[in-house]
Amino acid sequence: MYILISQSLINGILAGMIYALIASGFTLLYGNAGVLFFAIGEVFMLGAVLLYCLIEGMSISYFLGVVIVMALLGTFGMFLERAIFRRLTGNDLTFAIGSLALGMLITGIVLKTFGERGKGLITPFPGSFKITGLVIAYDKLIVVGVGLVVIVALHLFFSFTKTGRAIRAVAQDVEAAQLMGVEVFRVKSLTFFLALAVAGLAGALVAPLYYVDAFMGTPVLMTALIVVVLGGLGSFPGAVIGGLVIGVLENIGQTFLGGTTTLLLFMIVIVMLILRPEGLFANE
Amino acid sequence: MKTKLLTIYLAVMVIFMFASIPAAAAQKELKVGCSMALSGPVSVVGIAWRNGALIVADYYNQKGGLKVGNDTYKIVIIDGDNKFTPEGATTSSRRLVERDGVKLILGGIATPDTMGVQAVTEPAKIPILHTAAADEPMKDKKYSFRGFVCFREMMPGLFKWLVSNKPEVKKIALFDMDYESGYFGHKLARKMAEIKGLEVVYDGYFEPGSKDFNSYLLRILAKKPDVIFNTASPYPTWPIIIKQARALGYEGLFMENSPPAVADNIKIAGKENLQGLIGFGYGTEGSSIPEGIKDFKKEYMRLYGEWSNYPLVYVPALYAFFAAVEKANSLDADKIVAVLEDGSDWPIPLGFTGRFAGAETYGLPHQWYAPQWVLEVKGDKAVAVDEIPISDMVTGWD
Repeated sequence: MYILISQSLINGILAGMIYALIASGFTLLYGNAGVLFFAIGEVFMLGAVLLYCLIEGMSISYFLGVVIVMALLGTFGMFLERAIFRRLTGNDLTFAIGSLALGMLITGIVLKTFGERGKGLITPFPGSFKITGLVIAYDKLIVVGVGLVVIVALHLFFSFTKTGRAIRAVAQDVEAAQLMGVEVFRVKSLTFFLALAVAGLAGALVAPLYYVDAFMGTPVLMTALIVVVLGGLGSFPGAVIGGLVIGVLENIGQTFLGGTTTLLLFMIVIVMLILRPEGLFANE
Repeated sequence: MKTKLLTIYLAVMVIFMFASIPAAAAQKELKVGCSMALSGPVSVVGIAWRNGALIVADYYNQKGGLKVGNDTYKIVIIDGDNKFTPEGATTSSRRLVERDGVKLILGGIATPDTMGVQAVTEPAKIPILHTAAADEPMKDKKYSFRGFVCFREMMPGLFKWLVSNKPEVKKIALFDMDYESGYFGHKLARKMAEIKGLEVVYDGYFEPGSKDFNSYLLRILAKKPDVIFNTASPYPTWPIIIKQARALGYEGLFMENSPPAVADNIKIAGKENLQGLIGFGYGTEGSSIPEGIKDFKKEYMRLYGEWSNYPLVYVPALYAFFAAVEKANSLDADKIVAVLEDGSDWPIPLGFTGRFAGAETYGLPHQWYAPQWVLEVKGDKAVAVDEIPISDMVTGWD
């Protein structure tokens, strides 16, 4: 029983880290740009696809590939903000629909170019070690480690840098931030950069763990929505803690309850929406 | 004047005479529809089978086509992507039958899409060759033939080999996708395990679309199985299961109900994790494998580059299917069905003989029987380690 629970916990932390990264991207965009970006799952998928192409097609090393993926998708995010979503500011429904359409477009392009077959990336960190009977794979440790570094870096960025504080100011009150001299559009561009870079990072991290295909983004969006409802829409700490909580609950639930876990998670969402619709860490 | 008129009249008659001679008869076409998953994740199977069908069609076309009466027919395969859904299968089959005028259909791949095909082909009296594993597509379906050695037929030989060659195996875990073919495979596997004295320590399913099997595998590995048996899960779930089980420290055997698609699985599971994987079907490596199978593989690779064992699951029965049209000497569905049902042995160009039988099990003799091989992954190949004769397939449940 100890092994079962502990191993589920370890797997849950890994899954939670991935959810935390994706939900962070989603909530950053909502909190700072006021937009529901429903293509976040497809950005996650793009991260995995791009890493696959970089490693298999151009023989680029894993870590360099991850950095390139973040840079590419971050830049793509800035392009999207300037070229499309800036024009839709103030029109939330159009923005949401536009992001859904973007997601479908991305999936269609990937299907045509990458193909429909799932493709595997051999893990760059094979093997595992045991502690008190628990098996910990090196590649999963790397994922958790990298995710943690990025989340801590983001936290430090938002807390202690001028730009980070500007992003938080825009999230709290756009007009007040403008009056304080914050360049709102520049901040929103940067927010898109960070959000898509982080979501793409999540995809790149999981690529060697499972397999890469054009359909891997959709289920991830649903989980991201659950996480942000739990953690609080617009709250970065909420997204991180919510992601970890959902990851652990999901894994332990599936180990002991099987398929009903998904139903339970959606029930949690409904209960949260009734009792505390702003989430656990609203506006923090 | 009269001479002029007569000349004109004769000229017109000559023109009419030549115009009334029909153009040299172009070779006729036998249109064969392919209602399979040609897009989506399962397209790796559908496309491989379609490509295999093209090679079989070309085999007969190179010999001048199928001779039916005084005509010869060139086999033309027409794609009908069914997207691996029942609705897609019905739509594509309807289009193939009503718009394209096909006389035969190849497909579906599994039970749900096959039943979608049958919704059109049974009323339209179109013979089909499918690979659905469950019993439902075989029940009272006069025009449907199962074109592969299925679970009920292969399990006796596979389990007999397992018990004889791996005596250390006592406990078996059954793990599949949550769908019809999975339930059916487990039902048979439980019974066969009981016959062979193996203990079923786990019997469960995962949600379609799953990629993270760690939670399931933790429960499975807690039962300490000696072999994890996957009967019917589509690619690419199985290599992911293998990879994740090994990552959790599982050192036992893996077994599957089909030929290991080593080239595809290696890319996901990793070569080391696949070693010792046991499967069943037509292999292409090993001294007992007929040269015809090896030649087929060479031809497939020449045309399509990559090889997986998927085409061989389906192609042997397909040779017989087309040959039946010629033997029936007719494109009439009832005559083709009668020929397929008559119990004849069909010599397959791959180097062995098969037949359609199974009336005592399915009510109609529409199940394909042919020698199979137990395959074991060694290196980057699935090597034939034992041949399973047809007799084991028929009597193994006694």
